[in-house]
Amino acid sequence: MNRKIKSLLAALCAGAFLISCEEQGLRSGDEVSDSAADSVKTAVVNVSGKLFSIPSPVQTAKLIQDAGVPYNREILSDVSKMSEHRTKSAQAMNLGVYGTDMAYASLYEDGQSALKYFKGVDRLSSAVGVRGAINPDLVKRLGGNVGNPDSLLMLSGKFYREADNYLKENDRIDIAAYVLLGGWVEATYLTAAAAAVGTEVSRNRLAEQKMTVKTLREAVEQTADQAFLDGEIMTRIYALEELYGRVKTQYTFNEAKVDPEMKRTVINSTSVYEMDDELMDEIYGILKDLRKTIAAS
Amino acid sequence: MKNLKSLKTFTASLFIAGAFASVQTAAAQCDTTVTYAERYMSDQFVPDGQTYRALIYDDQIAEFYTTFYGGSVYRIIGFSGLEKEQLIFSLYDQEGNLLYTNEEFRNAPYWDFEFKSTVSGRIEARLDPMKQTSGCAVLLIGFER
Repeated sequence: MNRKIKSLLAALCAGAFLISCEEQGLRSGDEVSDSAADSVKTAVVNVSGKLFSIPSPVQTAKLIQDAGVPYNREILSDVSKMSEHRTKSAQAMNLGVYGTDMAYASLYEDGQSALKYFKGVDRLSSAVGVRGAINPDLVKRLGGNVGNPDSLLMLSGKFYREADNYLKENDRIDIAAYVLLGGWVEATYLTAAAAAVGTEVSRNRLAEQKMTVKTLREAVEQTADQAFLDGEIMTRIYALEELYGRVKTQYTFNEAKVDPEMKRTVINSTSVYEMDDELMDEIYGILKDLRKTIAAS
Repeated sequence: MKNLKSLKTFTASLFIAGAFASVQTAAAQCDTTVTYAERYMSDQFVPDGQTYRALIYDDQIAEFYTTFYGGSVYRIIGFSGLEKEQLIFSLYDQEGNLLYTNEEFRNAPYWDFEFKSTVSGRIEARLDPMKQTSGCAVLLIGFER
């Protein structure tokens, strides 16, 4: 029996040694370290083939601006509370929130506010352990372009993709999901606020989140710990999903048109989403509560 | 008899160690694959802030659901291993109708999609069995600015 244990331990050490050699070759100075057990878990999760995709909050902020909705600095989150986020889940969710607000403020050329949110993004990315993995030049360029919407969109997209990639590579898919959750809630809240003042495009965009809220719930359910799943935020996510169940949808399939030379396909299918004023107000109400809970976490 | 038992234990242990190392190698390969895939995201497209990666074997399929907003143009990049055209990716609508597959275009590593209306879709990715039997599949999505 002892021999078995010894052999097993020797093999585990050998495996850990090989892992450490390869990981050093890949990256150094990472705050989120791998363990042999973590690596196995990564493989199992990946092999299951289940991935999650949430529309970019940065794109949502751009769509709000494109809809001609006036800028409202007052509805943005309170970045002065960033040091109060103590848990990894809270830090990750608010990293998503600040990234959305940074993009929104920058798009409306409020460079001063965008810079504040950039500082929040910078600080919380360190807190969740991804800051060291992101190309320092990218971070510098992001900070230097907060007042330049065109560049900021591109750079923040790259920043969040690098962070997401690093978290997935290091089996921190729970943290990656929390970042998505925070970003989505903030972007959807901004959309709802625009819809509430009568912007039809934003109202449609709000209704179109029906599928995303389900995907988001699944992503968090499969990655978060039990305490989070039993908490207030998930209760509100479930309530939100239930409300979205009342959004009526009608989909019509139409043939797509392909242009092989341009490597481009035009998708001609159409979807119609419908919700009445009462439902919209209820969704807005839950989003307000959800956002408040994330800010206070 | 004791020696045979020890040999079995040692072989099993080596297998476990090998499995750990191979998983880690695959994870490292994923990182390189992401770098290769990123080259197809031109400055015209803004990354959506996520990477979709999965270690797949043989005929396994990685899939995910997403929403594409109407009035937007998206670029989807599919890459596996260290060479292009090894990954087959397909886009289906919410009713399961095939909207596109790069299999019809020699496994093109990227394609652009213009959505007239918001569509919830499913993306499937699998390895081209003629080119690869296992590896890291990476998909990236960007939206046109």
